[in-house]
Amino acid sequence: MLRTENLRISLTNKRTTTPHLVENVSLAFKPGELTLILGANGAGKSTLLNALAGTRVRHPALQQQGRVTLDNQDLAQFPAKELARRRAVMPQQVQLDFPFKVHEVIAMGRSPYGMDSQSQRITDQAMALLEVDHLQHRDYPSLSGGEQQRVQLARVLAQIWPHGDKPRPQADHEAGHVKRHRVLLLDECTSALDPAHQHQVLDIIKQFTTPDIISCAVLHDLPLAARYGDRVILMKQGRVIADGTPRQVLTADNLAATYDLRTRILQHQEVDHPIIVGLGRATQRGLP
Amino acid sequence: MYRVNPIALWGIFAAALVVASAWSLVTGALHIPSRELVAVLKQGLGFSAIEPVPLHLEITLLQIRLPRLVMALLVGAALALSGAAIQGLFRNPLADPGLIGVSSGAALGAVSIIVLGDTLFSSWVWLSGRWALPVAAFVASLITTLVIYRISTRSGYTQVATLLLAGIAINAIAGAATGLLTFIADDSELRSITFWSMGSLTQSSWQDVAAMLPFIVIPLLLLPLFAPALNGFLMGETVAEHLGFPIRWVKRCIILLTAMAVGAAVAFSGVIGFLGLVVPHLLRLVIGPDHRLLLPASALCGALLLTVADMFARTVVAPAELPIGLIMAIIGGPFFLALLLSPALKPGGVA
Amino acid sequence: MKVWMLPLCLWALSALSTAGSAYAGDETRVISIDGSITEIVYALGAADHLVGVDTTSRYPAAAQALPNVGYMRQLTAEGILSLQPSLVITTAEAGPVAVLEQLDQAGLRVETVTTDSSIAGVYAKIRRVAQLLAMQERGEELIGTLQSNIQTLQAQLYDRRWQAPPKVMFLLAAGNHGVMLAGKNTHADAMIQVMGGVNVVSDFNSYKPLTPEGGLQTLPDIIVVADTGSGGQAPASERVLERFQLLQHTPAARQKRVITADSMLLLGFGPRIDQAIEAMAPAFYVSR
Repeated sequence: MLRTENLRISLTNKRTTTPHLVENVSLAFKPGELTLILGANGAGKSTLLNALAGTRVRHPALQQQGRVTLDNQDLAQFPAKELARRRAVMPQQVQLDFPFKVHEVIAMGRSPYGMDSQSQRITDQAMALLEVDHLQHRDYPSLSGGEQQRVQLARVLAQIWPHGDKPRPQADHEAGHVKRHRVLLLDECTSALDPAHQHQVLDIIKQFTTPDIISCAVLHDLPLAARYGDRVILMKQGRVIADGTPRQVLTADNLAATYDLRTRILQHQEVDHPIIVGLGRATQRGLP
Repeated sequence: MYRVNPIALWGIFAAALVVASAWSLVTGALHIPSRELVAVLKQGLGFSAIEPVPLHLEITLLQIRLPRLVMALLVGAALALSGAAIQGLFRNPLADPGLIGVSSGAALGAVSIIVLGDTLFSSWVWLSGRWALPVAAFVASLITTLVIYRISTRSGYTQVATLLLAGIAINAIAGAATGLLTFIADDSELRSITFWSMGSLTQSSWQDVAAMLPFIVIPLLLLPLFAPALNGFLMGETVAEHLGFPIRWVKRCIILLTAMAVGAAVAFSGVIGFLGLVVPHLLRLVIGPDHRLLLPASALCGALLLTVADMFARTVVAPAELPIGLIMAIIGGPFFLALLLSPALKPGGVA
Repeated sequence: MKVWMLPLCLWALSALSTAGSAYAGDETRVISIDGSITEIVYALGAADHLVGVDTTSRYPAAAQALPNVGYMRQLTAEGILSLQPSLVITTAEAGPVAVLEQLDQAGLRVETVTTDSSIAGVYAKIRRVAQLLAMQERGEELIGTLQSNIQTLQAQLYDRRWQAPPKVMFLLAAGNHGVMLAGKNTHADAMIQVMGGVNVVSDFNSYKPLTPEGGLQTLPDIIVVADTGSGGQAPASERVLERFQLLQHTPAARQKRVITADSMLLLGFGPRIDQAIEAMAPAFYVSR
């Protein structure tokens, strides 16, 4: 279980304190579940995701209060390498200008383990899963945005690949009492993809979310969220305003409150999830 | 882009280094007949002398050329390796130890000693004699590094952009202070400043080698350990952290180790530019950007290049010498321009 | 690291070994590292023994054809050794110390001649160099000639002396730009004293760039321009007066007491010091 307890994050200067980016958020993310976080730009989604990742080196003005725990252990107390073996993060954007080959980029996901034959095998498997193996000898900077995004996802998955960690004596000892869950955090991982690849990637993530994986993704696409989310969280101004299954959460009222958006929710017999049709902004403001 | 097998490349560099070293020992302004050469080396290795070798030949070989060769190898390896590490840390293939102000800080220290040595610091110079200049350059480079690091780091968070900007500002300040000193310098001091700023390995002695050895060997041994972390850094600090690298520690270590190596190199051989810029750049085109291969290859190639360049410096206008920094600039400048102009050679600029 | 492998390489080379050492010890082979010492060696008629000079040895022209070991403060041990000298004559200005130590280690005889910027200093220098070359008699002859020349010149100067010593501005003109004004403790200052004048500069040591206004303030009676050899153009004095227009209003320029000569001649303090005095003398004769 990945939990936040009364998490508050604010941007504090010497002179001014802006409203909290994340306000008093207490959430529990369950293993085997893909949680999608939605909200307008600036709602605090990425800030929350960063806190869930236990990112330690951050902007000095960012102040964090409250705890984030993974399997009841405070993320701040994890040794860096141990944390890297337990959670992987895909950022919104990775700028890599140096001509690494695609397979080298994916192999970097294995940095916490060292480059042995197992890591080599996992790199190949991750490459095959994301269908980027035909690109493996290309220079990363020469790829299109969408291809780069799939390569990055392969790297991130390789970092917490099933049975990718060598069994350690201590871990075996603990195995009976404490489940060692792994965490997958994704920030807008489909933004550069075409519709088919968006579905492919979310499908892969869903499959990857086995009972020992906790997955959490920030997403902007409502239909995709309705289709793939096990659980959807709506955020506005740093607060959680709705939390539940897609059917519970993705209602016209909630979306109007979150996005200032008029929608109609439809049902169709062929699909078992709501179909969301955007109609326009709720409050109209004409050109001056 | 096609890549050369790194193991083969290391082999080639190592072999070339041995050949260049041997060649460098046998060439010079003074012709040493090969019979004397062998005799001197046999003596040096502890064999009893078959026939006495003229003293001036023995001195030339063992006290002049050999320490100078070792110095060229160490300085070349240190500058190229530091360049590669700094470029990785800043995710910028154009970064250079000079960029963050280390070299100009060291230069200011050296110039202060040249100009103010016999007035302001007279007692101190008397204390340390021939060591005054290297010690001042080294101390100044360390102080500069610490100041820059202090400016750009707040609560453990080093902002690379601030670091670069601070480097520019420090360069300007150190440059102005150096300029002020050259203004009050007299004619002969000016000549000394000019020669020092063009770099030279002329004065290399075994004492110098011994003094600089730890400052260069420690970074040479430790910097390659940070290669995986530097690879992670190329995707950004946050990604590197998420991959499990202790990035504060890594940044501190790399900055300190490179300051150490560059400070020592500048202190004993003056300003030798371009090596830290051109060598890693060139190697990235051949073996790719992976620091685990790049760092050792840079050290080898830097040592090789400086040894060869120094051989030119010693022989082109013999019995006088050209400043080696000048030779590096003559090779490096046009090469670097070509690199900027050619789209195929730009880092990552492969269509 | 690779040093231990060298004998292997050199072993192979030994097969090609032919000639022995060509080092000749019985004949005096001299390297002069100072312009004035080189002049003395030539004046003594010992040019045959000279095998190398430094960059400050520009007179006589024949010296420039000799192998050049570089600037006197940036000597290289091997460059000097390669000329196989038996004697190196230099002044205390030579360096670096480490190189001189290396030469000493190599068993080379390095003699440092003390220099004093005065006429007596010139005699002492000649005496010392002559002694080093075992040419004492020739040295005394040379000193005798110089003494009588200088006595004649100084007698003429005394006949036409000023009531109060004239104020002299001593300039160093390098090329087209960069006119330097000589301060205290310089060869130029010493030369002014030899001529019975006083330096217009009393508040700084060494040389400083001349500023247009600074020149006029001092109101020199005499201006001496030492030409550092740009070659092929108008005399240095004309160039200087043209660039620093205000100097034309000084007493020196109005009374045409501006003289130019080669800087090596004026500042060398070598065996041509009588010629230097002779060159400057006309400007120092008081007008009646």
